[in-house]
Amino acid sequence: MKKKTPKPLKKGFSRRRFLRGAGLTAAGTVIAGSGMLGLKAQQLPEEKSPGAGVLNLSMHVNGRLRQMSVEARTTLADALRNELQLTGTKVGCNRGACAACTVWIDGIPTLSCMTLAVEVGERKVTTIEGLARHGKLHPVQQAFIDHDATQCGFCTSGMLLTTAHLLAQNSGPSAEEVKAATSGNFCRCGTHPKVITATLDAAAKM
Amino acid sequence: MYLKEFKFYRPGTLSEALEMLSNAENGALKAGGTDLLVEMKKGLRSYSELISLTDLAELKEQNEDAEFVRLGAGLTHSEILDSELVRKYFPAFAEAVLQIGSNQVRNTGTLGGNLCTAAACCDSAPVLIALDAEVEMMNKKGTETIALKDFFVHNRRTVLKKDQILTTVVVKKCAPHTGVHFEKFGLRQGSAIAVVSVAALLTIEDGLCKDARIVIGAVAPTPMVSYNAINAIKGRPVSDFYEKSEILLAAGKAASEDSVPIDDVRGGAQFRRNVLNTLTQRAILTALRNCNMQNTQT
Repeated sequence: MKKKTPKPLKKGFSRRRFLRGAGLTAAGTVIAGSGMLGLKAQQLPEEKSPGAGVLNLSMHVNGRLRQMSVEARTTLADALRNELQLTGTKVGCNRGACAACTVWIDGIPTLSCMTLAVEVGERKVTTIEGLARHGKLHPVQQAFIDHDATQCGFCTSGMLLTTAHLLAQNSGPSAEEVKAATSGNFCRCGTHPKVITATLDAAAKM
Repeated sequence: MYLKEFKFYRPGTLSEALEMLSNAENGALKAGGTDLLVEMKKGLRSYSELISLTDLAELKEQNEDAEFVRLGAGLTHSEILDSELVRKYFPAFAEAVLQIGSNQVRNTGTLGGNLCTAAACCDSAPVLIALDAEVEMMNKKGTETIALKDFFVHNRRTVLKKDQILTTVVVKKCAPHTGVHFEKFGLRQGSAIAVVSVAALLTIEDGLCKDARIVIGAVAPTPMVSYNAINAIKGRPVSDFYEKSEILLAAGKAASEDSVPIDDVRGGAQFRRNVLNTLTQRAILTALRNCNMQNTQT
């Protein structure tokens, strides 16, 4: 039997970049379409009141001061993903029920889908991209790999930030304490038992 | 699921916030946002202005005098759990707060927000009503105080006027020999919405139940006081309070008869009545045990 070898993708070409490109093309079509119908561009609110239109913000993210242009309605999750391309933060339910989007704000696990980017202010944001230090994985990250505590991986960033916070508060948690800490993080693949094992293992090695 | 556009205001003081609120056309106050933003994302509510209460130090205050503990409405649930005052005087309230949402939600959601959302299944209200809590509401004209039990009008409706901000929850310290307990029945252990909840407060004197408060949650449009359950136990000797005793069965039955539950995805009305019956008895017994424990400690 002939074995098909998949063609290597062009260097620098990613699924995400492809999708973004496709999205822009689609948007372009719509704009061109409305132009053809003779419609004027929608008037944007011009008031100078706080929050109207686009705001330029600076935000401390993973130890760096980052600039971004967002609207008042932009959630922190969207700002991180779309403005800073920090796509490790996942948006699961987008209504504060699943905790996949958990990030730290001043070290406190917070739902980024339920936080407005404008409200972060001077506080310091840590995302999954900032958990590893100096090229070395955080012990819970290593333990999740060792214990295979991920399946589809969508809840993993949130799980890691939640368990890493737990271990920062409590260096020797019981299984019950890990359960309580992660009870808001939903994993639909069912990795919860492995998450608990991995967290306890990380605690033992820290 | 993006939010609709709104203007965002971030006042630094309470008086600034009141000014913005009175000038707003269709404004809403945003505390933690864990309920508000969800409803706005779902399209159930829309506002042209959001006024953030996050920066108001006035709403974060907590203090006590001889009779009362005052808790700022802007305290997050996690801050309530960490509060020395709450842990010392109202451990049952802390237990109830621990059952709100998830860790992450408790880190953002606030006491005032939980009360103002006024969900029938609100976890913080039953205990606070049992503790005879009052709330202070402020507008530009001044401050109004109302008993928390009268604050709720209907599911998701309160007496709070459009220009008012809920600023403080005032909780009366318990009389000596008082035990309090909160029971919640949800469909799972974590991040559960209450299907039925009960708060019980008992004050014991000379072996009699001198004072009692039974508040039931998630079984009526608002958290409500079950007066018939209270009458069933008030004045009775506590030696008659034991599992399946006549008095307890009567109290459980009275509570379930006072309730007006609905059928929904989490349970049918009759199921809720049955659970409420049992939960009421359990809450009374545990409140009594808490009272006895307190007595042995002092």
